[in-house]
Amino acid sequence: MDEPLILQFSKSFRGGPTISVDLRIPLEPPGVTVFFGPSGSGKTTVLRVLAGLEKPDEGTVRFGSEPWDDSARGLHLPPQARRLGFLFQDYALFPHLNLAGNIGYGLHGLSGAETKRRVGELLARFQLEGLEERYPHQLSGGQKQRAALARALAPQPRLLLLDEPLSALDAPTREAVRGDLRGWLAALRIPVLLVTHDRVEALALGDTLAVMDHGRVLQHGPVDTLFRQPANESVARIVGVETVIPGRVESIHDGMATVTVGDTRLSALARNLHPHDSAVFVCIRAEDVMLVKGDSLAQASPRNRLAARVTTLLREGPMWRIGLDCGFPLSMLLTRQACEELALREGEPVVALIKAPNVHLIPRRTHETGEKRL
Amino acid sequence: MKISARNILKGTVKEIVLGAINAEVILDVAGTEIAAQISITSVKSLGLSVGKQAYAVIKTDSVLVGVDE
Repeated sequence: MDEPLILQFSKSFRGGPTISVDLRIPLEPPGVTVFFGPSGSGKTTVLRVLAGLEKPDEGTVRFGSEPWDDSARGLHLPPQARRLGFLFQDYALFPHLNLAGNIGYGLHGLSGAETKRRVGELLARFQLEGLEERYPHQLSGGQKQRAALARALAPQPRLLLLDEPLSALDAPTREAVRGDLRGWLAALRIPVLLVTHDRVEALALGDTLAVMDHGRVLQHGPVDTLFRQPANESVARIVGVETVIPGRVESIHDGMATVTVGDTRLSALARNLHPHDSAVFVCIRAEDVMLVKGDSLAQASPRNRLAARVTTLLREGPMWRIGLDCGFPLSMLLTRQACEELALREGEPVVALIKAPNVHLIPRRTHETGEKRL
Repeated sequence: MKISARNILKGTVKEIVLGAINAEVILDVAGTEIAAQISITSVKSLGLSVGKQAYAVIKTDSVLVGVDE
């Protein structure tokens, strides 16, 4: 299927902003598209219109060659006819059904034996074996999340929609599940659309990102491009981290990770990393970078000492934003006085100092090998 | 010293407390104690030991200001 998913509609609710989107999302190869933005930006509405739970005021929704919504023709395909999976924020498991009943709920037209086999497959895949008789209230947060995902995937949907999939979890569980979720989604080989207001989640889970604010998509593109090259100030404000760049973990030793970004080597704390994690996003905040010139402070405690060149100097209120090239673009902030004392000029060689704990690593697990297709 | 941080305080190492990955280094700067959290690798590579002279380097945005009343 070469035709994309087309979302071209507007929808408004009393008292809220008009949600107006015009997006084409390729279905082949299938990837994870993250709708990212503050609460109230309209991202959940986009998901609900796509699912058929809301009807657009005007416009069309097309899944490849299939029209799902077309206001001009009065066409609105009901949710069940769209054959998609939807993971609700609160999971919405049926309290009166046990785990096996919940997972098998959407399996129509299968024999008892087939249903059992399919449910068994999903229980194994989401590490829920032995829990099939339990009811939702007897499951932990992480188990409920996996159960809801298994239920959404049971009828073999063509498209999976997830609304804030990790927000109902406590912080430690969320961190653990985040990496696993990326692996599960990558192994599905169906397009996934996911809504989140959490930056780390967007970075860890998305292939492409659509940044939303006030009902509009401000920018749509590959996840690292959006974080590194926000199209405008609003996107920059919403994504927040100045430097986000793909890297590879070379080694983990005594709790410290060595990561390469191009030819540049960085030290970071190995928290959140599994021994087999290799692809990561490296995040560095502008205020965590220090600059030295010449051989000043030739020996200092920060583990990262990067030879760099000044590429840009930009006034930003009382501060200066300095762009550096240290094998990859790095952004930092300096006070006016520091900038004057250092007498920085474009093209000048400098050394950037970053403490290892300030280099944040976000793992991007793929788990592609050895995964069974659903 | 040509460095972007605005606060550079010369002192002597008073104490080093080793943790799992990090160490807390206490510097005596003119009678005031300044604590630093740095990696054990850095303690070794800087050759830090009690009595050695070292600088505490603090960025302006890391300094909090408070008053008594």
